[in-house]
Amino acid sequence: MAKVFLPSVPTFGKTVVFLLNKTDLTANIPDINQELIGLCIRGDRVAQYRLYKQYSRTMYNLCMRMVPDKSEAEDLLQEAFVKMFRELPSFRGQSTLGAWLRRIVINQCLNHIRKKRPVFVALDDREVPEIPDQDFSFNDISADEIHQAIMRLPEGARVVCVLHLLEGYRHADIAGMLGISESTSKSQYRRAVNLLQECLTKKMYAGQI
Amino acid sequence: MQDRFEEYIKTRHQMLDVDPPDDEKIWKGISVELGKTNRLRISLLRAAAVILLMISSGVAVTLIINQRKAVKMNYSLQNISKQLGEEESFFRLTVMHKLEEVKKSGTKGGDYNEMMEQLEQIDRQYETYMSDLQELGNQPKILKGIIRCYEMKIRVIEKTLNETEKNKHYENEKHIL
Repeated sequence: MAKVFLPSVPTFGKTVVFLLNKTDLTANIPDINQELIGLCIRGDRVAQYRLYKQYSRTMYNLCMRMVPDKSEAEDLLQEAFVKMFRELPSFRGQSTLGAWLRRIVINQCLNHIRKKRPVFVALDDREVPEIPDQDFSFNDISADEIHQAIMRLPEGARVVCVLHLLEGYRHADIAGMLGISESTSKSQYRRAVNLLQECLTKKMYAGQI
Repeated sequence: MQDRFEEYIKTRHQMLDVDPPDDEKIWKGISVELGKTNRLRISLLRAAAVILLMISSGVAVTLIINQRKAVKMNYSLQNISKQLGEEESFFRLTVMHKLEEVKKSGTKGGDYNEMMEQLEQIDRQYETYMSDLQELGNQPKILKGIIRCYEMKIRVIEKTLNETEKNKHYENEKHIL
């Protein structure tokens, strides 16, 4: 067994090391949904629904975090699934179906955001100050509160935050995806984390959580 | 603290999917869109099938026509009787020789064009007779018509040759005067 680096996999800022045989790199990743995918390609509506159900919740929440409007998120999710089903015959299995669908969803969302208005205003590359370290625990913050807080972030900061913090994209990749500089991506991210932290800790102090 | 905070959110990533989607509504939309794709695919397949059918019909018709033409072209009076065949060969050779004479005589312009038009007209008439011959059999009227076509061709060519000769004499006389 040899240690092999897979750079294309989102790494959450750290290098992910997989223990794989060398031959595993050239081979496609066998998807657990292989049979379902085959049926979907043949137009089996029941199989398509099963595949939809498998990913709908995760992808819907991803849409909601990228575009925090219920109706728009529903439309985007619908478009993403239609696109996925149409392009399924070209799916080569070089990643899992989930990862592939995730990229489709993110692309749909980014296209939608771009069409709406330009949101990525550079923050002059200046350092965004960090909130001073305080001695408290985050353990009481619920997932729902984090989700809601992310959705309330300003659009530019939110998109960068979702892509970097939750989806594991690097700032260089995000810069390319959004047509901004890497430093803008970093400053937007810092801003987003500060705002999130501020919002959630304020609630903690106010005893809302 | 920020790093701790980021780590905390990352660890909660899987739990952040808190909003339930309206599956019924979204799936309905997906179904409709996929149905459109299928309908479009079926329409395209139908269109392709129609085009293919048209092309193959066209090819078939062309093949049949060409086959008939080939049969017609190969058909001659030789198929009816040896004597008629020899007669036809004689006329064909005569026409060819006469046309050679026209070329040598230097016939040009209006006279030549007029002759060619008349010959084409006779050829068309000849083809009609040949079709009739195949369909109706060797009836004397048809056979006469075919021979007449050759005679007419020879007459047209001879007339042109005479005209050319006349013109030459006229030009010579004019020159002497």
